[in-house]
Amino acid sequence: MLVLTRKLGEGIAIGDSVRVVVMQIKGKQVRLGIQAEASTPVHREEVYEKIKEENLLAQQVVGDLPTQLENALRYLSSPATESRTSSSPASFGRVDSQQLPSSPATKGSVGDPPRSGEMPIRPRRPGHDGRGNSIGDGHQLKDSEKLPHSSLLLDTFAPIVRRKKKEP
Amino acid sequence: MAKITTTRFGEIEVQESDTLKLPQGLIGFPELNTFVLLDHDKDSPFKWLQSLEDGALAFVLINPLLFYPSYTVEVAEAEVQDLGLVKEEDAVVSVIVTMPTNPENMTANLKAPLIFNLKNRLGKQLILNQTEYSIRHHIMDEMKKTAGATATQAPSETMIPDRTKTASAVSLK
Repeated sequence: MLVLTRKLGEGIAIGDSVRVVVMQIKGKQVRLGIQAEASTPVHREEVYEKIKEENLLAQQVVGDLPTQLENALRYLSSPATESRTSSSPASFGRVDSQQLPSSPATKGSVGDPPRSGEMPIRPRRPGHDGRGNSIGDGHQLKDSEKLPHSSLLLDTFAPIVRRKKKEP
Repeated sequence: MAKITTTRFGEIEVQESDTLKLPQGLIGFPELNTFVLLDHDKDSPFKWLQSLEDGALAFVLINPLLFYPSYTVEVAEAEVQDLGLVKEEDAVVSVIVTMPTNPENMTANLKAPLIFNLKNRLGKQLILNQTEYSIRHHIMDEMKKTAGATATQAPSETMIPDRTKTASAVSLK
């Protein structure tokens, strides 16, 4: 690791596009200004590390996931929260446009019927579902039991993006 | 069409047109760039983001608006370019769920949502600077809050600021 000593107001150039300047020194705190191209992500190290850890944790879904999901689902569609759901209480997968704080710009894109050419969501395991709708963990699917994966599934997520104003 | 063997779903067939591409991978998993989105169940709010490069890796995703109606994501110009976004409406957002042993304690990572461009199926995990969003949002707690607000007829009041904020912030074009 390269170690440099800098005074207040002095900086460090990293490559052609990154500049780090000491803005303020106060006790044990140093305030740094970082100038980089918009395409260079700059984050506090611990935030980045924590997200990394959380991602790792998120894919280590332990043990009996289906039961957990089913329980969670029951929780989500309990009477207290039912008023938020669309016409069918259990269908949290699609969001009712009325419940969204949607702007005129985004309204309509949520509750729209499937676009032409897209398959409706099929039941995952039609016909033989011994215990409710849950999926067995690690259950090996037969050829006939294809999982629905289509662009339609992406539509079930939220269109809530707005463009960040350019920083001065 | 490619066949992929997954730990959780067995062998699945994936069409090229159904794959999602995350050129930078997920944070901590830069080597995983292609995924497919699978339904957990017909009416389930949960979706699976299954890696096509590692059959053992799958993440649980959920629409953040289901439990956090005022959630908004600001996308910087660099990310707009990465995703090839033309319009805000083409982008959708989902968040990764962490499922502990007790499902009541499941959390969602609102700090680092996944954003996808519906048009070209490119995706990216962002890190938001908004301090009100944490890496572990307790989903059940948020649900209760939202449900309470709806029950007392308060949502119109509570939502107005967000609505105007969003409306003025969305630029068409």
